Amino acid sequence: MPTNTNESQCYLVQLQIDNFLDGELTPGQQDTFMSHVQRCSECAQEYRFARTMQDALIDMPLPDCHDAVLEPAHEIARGSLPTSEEAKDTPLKGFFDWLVSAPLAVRVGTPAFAVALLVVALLPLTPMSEPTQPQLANQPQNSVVTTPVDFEEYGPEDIARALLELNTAIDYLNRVNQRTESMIGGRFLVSPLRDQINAFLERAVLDPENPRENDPI
Amino acid sequence: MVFFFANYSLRAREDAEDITQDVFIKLWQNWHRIDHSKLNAWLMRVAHNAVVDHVRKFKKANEQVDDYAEPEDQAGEEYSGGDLDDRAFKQQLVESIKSLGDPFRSILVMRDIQGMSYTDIQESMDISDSQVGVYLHRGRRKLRENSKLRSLFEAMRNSETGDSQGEVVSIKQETRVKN
Repeated sequence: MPTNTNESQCYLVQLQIDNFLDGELTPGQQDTFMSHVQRCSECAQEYRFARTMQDALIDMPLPDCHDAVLEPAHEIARGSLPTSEEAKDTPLKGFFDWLVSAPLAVRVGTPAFAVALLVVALLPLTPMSEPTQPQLANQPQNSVVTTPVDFEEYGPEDIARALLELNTAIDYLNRVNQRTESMIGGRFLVSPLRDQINAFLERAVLDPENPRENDPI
Repeated sequence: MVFFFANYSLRAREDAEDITQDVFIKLWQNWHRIDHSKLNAWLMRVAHNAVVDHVRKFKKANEQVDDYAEPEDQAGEEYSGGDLDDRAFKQQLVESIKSLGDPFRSILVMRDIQGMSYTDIQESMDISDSQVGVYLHRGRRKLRENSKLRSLFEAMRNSETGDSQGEVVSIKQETRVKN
């Protein structure tokens, strides 16, 4: 550490040499620096040394490496990156280039139109609500019972509607069953019995003198 | 840019070429992940890290070597004036730079030789703006402490002026930066 005023001043000035070379001193500091260096041979020598070194560094040559050094990197680049020709041939690139250069209204309207077109195209595919009551037994073949295709679309209303339709179908089947039973019963039980009774009554009518023998009971 | 940096940081040109090749291979391998607006800073950061790793590996392999690039001993040579002094001074300057430790060497090369701005250096080294200035000035002072460099400068001055003392110094503050 400097012991007297001159040494301390030299110490501070020499600390400022790099700041001076980099243009970081204020005008006042520059004046102080320059006036001291012009008076002090030691600081002048130090300044000259620093300046010579700085000039030598700035004038250092910037050698280039051989092209062969970067060849492996270029091969990787050719393999992994699209070339300028490939980029030009991309079908969408021309469209995007046009879109970028188009006016703002076109740039906003084109995607909006595309979205609207998509919505309209997909509209018929959305599920529609159908009549809840199926057609009854008179027209069993024509009954149209619409249920949601996708199970994930079932809601409480859909389930209630389906249960109602199921109950209606069950009622219909019960009536069909009853009629069938009656048809079967009439065909195999009632009709033969009626025929027998009718046959007896006819015989009884034919033999009026001996009615008891013909009494089936 | 990468080769310049590696060339002034490493002793052998072949090592600098290897570093350059590795850096650009990494560039293409990571092309899609890089912020292309800060490409220079990315390149310099990768180059700096590669140089540091290289020096570390070299030191591990040669533990008896105190510094990676010892300045050549030129005490026995005699110097005469003119271009020879200038050439010798520049040669010794390069050797002295290579023997500086990191980050002084890297920042000195980036700023004084390559002419990079403080912002670019800041992004490359991931340090603050004030740290760049501090390291730069300390690196320059370390170079001025190199006795061989100083003696060559003295010899150069003596051959130019014949008298290194009492000369009126014409100085002005002008900042020279590499074009």
